[in-house]
Amino acid sequence: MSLSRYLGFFFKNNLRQNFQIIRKLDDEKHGLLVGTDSFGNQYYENNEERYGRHRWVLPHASVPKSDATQVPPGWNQWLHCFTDEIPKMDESGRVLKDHFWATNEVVPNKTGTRGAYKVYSTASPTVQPWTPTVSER
Amino acid sequence: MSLLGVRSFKSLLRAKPTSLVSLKANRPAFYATNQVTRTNDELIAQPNNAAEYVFTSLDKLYNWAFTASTWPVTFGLACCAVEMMHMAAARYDQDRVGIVFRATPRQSDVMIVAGTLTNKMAPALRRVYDQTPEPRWVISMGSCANGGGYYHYSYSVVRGCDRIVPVDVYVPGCPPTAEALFYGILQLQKKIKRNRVTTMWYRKY
Repeated sequence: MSLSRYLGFFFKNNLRQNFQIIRKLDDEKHGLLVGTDSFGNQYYENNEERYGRHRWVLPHASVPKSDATQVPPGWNQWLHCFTDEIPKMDESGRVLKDHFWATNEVVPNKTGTRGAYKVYSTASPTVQPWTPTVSER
Repeated sequence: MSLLGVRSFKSLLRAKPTSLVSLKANRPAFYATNQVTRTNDELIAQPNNAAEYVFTSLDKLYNWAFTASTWPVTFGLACCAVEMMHMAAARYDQDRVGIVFRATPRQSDVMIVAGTLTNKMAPALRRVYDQTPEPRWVISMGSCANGGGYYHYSYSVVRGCDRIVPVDVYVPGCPPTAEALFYGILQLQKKIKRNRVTTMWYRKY
């Protein structure tokens, strides 16, 4: 079953797609392209797949750079079946905001980059470290 | 040699990314807004001379070997351990990224501190950490392990396991979902990939 599924999807895609899909998803997938967001991530759906595997994202970023926080909130809702509605987007793929006070800016996780948060504490430490010494026997 | 390395490193810091943008002008809007900052990883991994090409390649091999087999010692202390089990089970399936729980610290690389760390358990935690061979990493899972959480003002609870062991990744939540813990593990793998052991050794000497 699994092998026939794999091979069936393999021959429905072309070689270049297969290379990307297997590299990025560690699996073979084939489905309907539902939308593309501003990041270039592509969202697919295939209702013949098992429930829970029927919606997926093909990230635009390369494997070491791709991150779950690059998925915009509206698309995250769609991926996790909170809703069946595709988020409304402008022509550049940005998800439109529902309220004037909301933001539609998507900031990926900055951990490990130069924009990472740095702690600057002015409070005196509550724990006093000590240097353990071994006495001569 | 080290002086040369530092100087070229600084020039890399000053380098403007204009050439990069012009090279790939047809990229989607995400890159045009310049949200992807260059990582320290990319700056450090830039080889300066022939020897460093060798050492950065060695580093990549070293890091690849470690990221593909980070074996955690299970330190399930409280309810967070249930979510840790979910990560091991079929749905999130940690085996697919090469993570297998070991019952002994002597054969593991990562310690997942899952749950409330009490004063009574703290010496045991430290002992397990000390028994783990280098290189070793620690993931602090959940509010209680991060900073005491709900039991912060209790008389018998350590206010964060980072008072006992150095922590690499903090996973927030009470308890964190299995997805959150998995994301933490992926962050740890990214951190391991940022290791530059042999290159740093070469630049020092």
